[in-house]
Amino acid sequence: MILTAQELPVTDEPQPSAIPTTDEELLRRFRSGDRAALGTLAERHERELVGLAIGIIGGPAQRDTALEAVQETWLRVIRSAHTFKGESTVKTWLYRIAINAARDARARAARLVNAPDVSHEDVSEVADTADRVGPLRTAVDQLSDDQRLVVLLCYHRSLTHPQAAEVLGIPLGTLKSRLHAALTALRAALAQEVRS
Amino acid sequence: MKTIPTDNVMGADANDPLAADLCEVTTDRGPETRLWERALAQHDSEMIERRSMSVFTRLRRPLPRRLMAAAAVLVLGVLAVTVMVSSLREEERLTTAASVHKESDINYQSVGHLSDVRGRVNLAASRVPASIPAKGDAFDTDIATPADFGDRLGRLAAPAADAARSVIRKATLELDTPDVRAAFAKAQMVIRPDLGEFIEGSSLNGESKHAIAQITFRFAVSRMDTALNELRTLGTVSSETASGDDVTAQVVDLDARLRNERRVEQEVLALLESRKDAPLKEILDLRDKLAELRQNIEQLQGRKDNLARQVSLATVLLIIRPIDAPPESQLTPIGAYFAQQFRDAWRSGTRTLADALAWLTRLLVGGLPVWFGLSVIVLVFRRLLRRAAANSPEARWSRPAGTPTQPA
Repeated sequence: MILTAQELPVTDEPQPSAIPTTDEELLRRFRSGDRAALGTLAERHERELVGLAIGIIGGPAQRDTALEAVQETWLRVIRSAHTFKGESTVKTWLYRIAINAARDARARAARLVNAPDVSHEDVSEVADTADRVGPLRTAVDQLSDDQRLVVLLCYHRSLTHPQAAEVLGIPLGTLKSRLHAALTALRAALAQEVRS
Repeated sequence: MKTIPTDNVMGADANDPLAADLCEVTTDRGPETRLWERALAQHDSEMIERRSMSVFTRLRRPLPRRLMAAAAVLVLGVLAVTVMVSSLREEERLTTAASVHKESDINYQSVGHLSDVRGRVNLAASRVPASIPAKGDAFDTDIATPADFGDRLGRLAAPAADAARSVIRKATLELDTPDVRAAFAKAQMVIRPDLGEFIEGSSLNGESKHAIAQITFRFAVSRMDTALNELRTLGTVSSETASGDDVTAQVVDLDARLRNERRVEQEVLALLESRKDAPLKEILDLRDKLAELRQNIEQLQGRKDNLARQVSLATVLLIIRPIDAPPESQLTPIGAYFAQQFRDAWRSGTRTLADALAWLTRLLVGGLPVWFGLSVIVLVFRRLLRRAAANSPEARWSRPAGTPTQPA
């Protein structure tokens, strides 16, 4: 028997579900009072969101800040779940919220760590020394804001290019052109670093 | 193993070390987290805190910015409209007064005298007698003179012939004059408010050849002939009628009935006084009779007062027409009548349209400062709304990633 949203038990623990449900269905159930649905949704996306937040904020050294950003993401989801209109997928909606939360956390961390006018590059430089991809991360941080987000989203393992374009709110062609420019700049920066 | 998007247009496929490293940039290698649980707990605590917030604390919170801005705009709008409407009315009143003054000035200059007429014209319409006889005891004496006016009108030394009679005098005077408006204004100067005279009604309609003015005067009887003579000088007399309604008999009759009723009233009062031990029914009957008598006395007194007012103030109707006025009440064929009606309707319609356009122009041009202020307020309000909407949590969180946030 399939329980309706009102009949579902209200519990903090995610309930195992034999029937795979969509993100939209999980969000609808959460809005109806099923807190476990949020857990299921989080199981699907939380690790990817943490990874993206780490990429945006500056590396594994900033993982705590990234975790705060993702927690803030879930808090915003809880607060504004009733405002979700279904104009986009829940996944892209989650990523939008997560990106904005990560950017806020990054700016907040920059203000706390350094002078008020600290740049993004300073944060990443302070953040990561033992990171294997540290030089690449530094090069990514030197990109413009638009290009950096395009690179991070396009090479994020759970997003396709159309989904990345939807998250950024830009056409797919714009995304590809930005990605092309970003990779060109990235290769040039890496080559420059190798030569130096 | 990371999965690189297969539709990567840059050729950075899985064999590309750069692509693999870029995937690594957004990969979390840390322990598993359950951040959503913390978020739920935080949200629950916030809700509990919000519910426990006292009513007083909620009231102390400032009103939402949107509400305050809306209230401010509403108040300013109402003020602006009020000021604008009042200013337009004042302007219209001044314009009308100025046009009347202008016309009057021209007319008076053509007449060549009465330098202070303009100011008096404005007062003429509102003139009322300083005192209208409220209780005419004129007939308390054998001679039917307006005794309530005694102190004032009695000094006028009414003609002996009229003193013996009570006559309601009426007269109609029709004048032809080249300038109706000037004559209209000057005619109103004839009355003497200090003697209780007043203008009962006046009207001035039409322009130029179609102008016609009517004034109904109430002159003191003793001064009626003098006033008529003054009015005759304002133009050429085309018609003059006078009539007198002798109400002496009515006055005498009223006076007699009144005296009789009062005498009976005294008798009933004396009877009541002398029969205090009479049966209650008789006393009540006497009281009813007394009430009836007093009602009759009041009615008779009112009629007598009314007659006294009519006798003491003669009524003069003055009609002023232009010299070349078209004959009135001329029967016209149906075609001419229709054409005339059509012309009148067309003239009226165009006049209304012109008035409406003029009013709109005044509203637009005269209210420019108000419009400008309102526009600024609306723009600022819209900007505040947009900024508030852009900075609202829902909008900010759901904004496409990479969109710069607006400064708070």
